[in-house]
Amino acid sequence: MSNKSKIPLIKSRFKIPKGYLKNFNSKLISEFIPVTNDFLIPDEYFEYISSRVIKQKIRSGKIRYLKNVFYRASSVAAIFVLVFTVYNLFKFNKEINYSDVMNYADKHIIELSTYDFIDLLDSDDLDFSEYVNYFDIENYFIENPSAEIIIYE
Amino acid sequence: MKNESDLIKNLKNKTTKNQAFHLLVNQYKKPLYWHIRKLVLNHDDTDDVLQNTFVKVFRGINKFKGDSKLYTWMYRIATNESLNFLKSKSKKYFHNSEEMFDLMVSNLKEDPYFNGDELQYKLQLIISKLPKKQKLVFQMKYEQDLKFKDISEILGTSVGSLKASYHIAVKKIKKEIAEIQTF
Repeated sequence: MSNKSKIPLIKSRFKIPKGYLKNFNSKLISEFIPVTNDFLIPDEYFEYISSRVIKQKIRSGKIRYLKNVFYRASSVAAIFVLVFTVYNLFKFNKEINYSDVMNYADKHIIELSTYDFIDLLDSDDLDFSEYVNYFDIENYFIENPSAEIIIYE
Repeated sequence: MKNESDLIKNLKNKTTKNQAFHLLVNQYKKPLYWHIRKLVLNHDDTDDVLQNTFVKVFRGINKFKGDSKLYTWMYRIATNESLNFLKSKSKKYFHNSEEMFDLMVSNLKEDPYFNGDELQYKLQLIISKLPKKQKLVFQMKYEQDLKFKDISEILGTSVGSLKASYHIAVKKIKKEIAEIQTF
């Protein structure tokens, strides 16, 4: 152990040519193919690429992003409107009642002929005995003979 | 180094950001262009990817913590942008990436912006067949002469692994070229 430690270690006993390691990697293939740049670029391309061009791209990217957001928001809104309309339509159909019909008829003055009324009414509907006494009707015709004409008509 | 830290500081400051970004673009447009060009091969695609890289740098500079050098951070963005571009191109127009690389290299023959001879064309063809990591390390080391330490920062891989990948890539390329030259 002690003898070993006494042997002087000469680190530089092997020498390599100057610059060999620096050029080693490129030597591997450049023996076959020289390192050349065969890719070309359009004239003045690097003058064209500037921070101004990049900022224009950023701006157009923002506009495109906002457009996308707008289109998506519009689509969602359109879907909501459609759903709301359809829902209300069905809701209206379900809740339609007599008074709504009467109000509508009053507002829009629906004109119905005698035949329309007859179609809508049956014999029970024409029974007025609850409201008017039979004798009163008879007396009325006796007192007003011209009323017969109305009946015939 | 001091210049770089000043540049980062100015990029993060709202009032000096525009001027600093102008300097940054002028300083790095050429090396980044060539880095991207060697990966995507076509000039128009390179132009797109380069602009997207600078857009991402502009937007993400506030997230840059300074753990690595600014240029290795930008190279990392450029590399990722290039790889993502190739990935989406492959998905959109091709069945697989091999088919895409074959067409990309064969298009070089008609490309007005490629001036290589038959041997250079074959070299591009061989490089295109390499696995992703070997291709990246070969392009960065051989073509751009970057240091392994910097490549390791860019790709997030250990120096040892990169050296091994580079060695294998070089061996493969040498073998293929030797075969071509014997015919």
